[in-house]
Amino acid sequence: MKAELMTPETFRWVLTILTLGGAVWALYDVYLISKLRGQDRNDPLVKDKRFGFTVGIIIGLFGISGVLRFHGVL
Amino acid sequence: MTTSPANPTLGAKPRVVSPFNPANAVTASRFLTLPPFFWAVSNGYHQYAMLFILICGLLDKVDGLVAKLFDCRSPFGEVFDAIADGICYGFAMIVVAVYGWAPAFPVFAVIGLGVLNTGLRFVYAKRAGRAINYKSYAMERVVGFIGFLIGFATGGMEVDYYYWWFLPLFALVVLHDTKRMLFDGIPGADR
Repeated sequence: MKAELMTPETFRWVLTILTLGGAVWALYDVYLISKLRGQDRNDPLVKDKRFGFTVGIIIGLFGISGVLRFHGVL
Repeated sequence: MTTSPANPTLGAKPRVVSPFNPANAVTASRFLTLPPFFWAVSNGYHQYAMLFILICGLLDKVDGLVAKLFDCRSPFGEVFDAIADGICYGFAMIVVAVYGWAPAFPVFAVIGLGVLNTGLRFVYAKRAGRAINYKSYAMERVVGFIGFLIGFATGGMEVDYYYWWFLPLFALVVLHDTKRMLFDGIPGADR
C-alpha cells in the first residue's frame, strides 16, 4: 500500500478547506438566529435555538481562528 | 417496532416504522469505519485516518437524508443516531489520545461529559414516560465539531489549541442541556 494519499502540503490544504467549509455553517447560524428576532424570548424552544445557534457561530469563529494559527497568520 | 412522530394529527393511528430501515442501516454502517480508522492510527497513516473519520462524519449526514427520502424517521432512529455518534466519536477520540495524537485530559473530560449527557437523555425519556430524544441545537453543533477535532488530531492541525479551548465550550453546553433535561418542562408532556 502507498504510504499516504497526498503530499503533506496538499493534506495541509485539504484540512484547511474542510475546516473553512465547516465554518461556513456559522453563517447559516447567523441567518437562523436573525430569523428568531421578534419571537417570544420566554419560549423554551426559542431560548434553546438561540443558545444553539450562538454556539454554532462561536464554533465557526473558533474553527477559523485555528486555521489562521495553522497558517501562521495569528 | 416504533411509531413515527411524523403525523401529529390527533386521533390518527400512528404509522409503524421498523427499526430495520434504510436510515438505521446507514447509521449502523458508520461502525464499519472504526476498524480501518484504528488500523490507520496504529500504523501512523495520518491521511488514511482522516479519510475514515471523514467517511464516518459524512455517513452521519447521509442517514438523515435517507430517513427523509424513505420517510422512515422514528424516535428509535434518533436515539440510535445519538448513540452511534457517541460510540464512533468516543472510540476515535480515545484512539487518537492513546496514540499521543491529541492531549489526553481534554479528550477524556469530553468523553466523560458525553457519557453524562447520554445518561441524562435516558432520565429525560423516563421523565417523559415515552421514547423521546432530547433535541439540543447546541449539542448537534458541538458533536459535529468533535468530528472535526478528530480530523485535526489526524492532521496535527493546532491540536492543543482546538482541544483545550473546546473543553469549556462543551462543558457549558452539557451544563445547559442538563438543566433542560432535569428541571425544565417537557414539550408535549401534558398530552
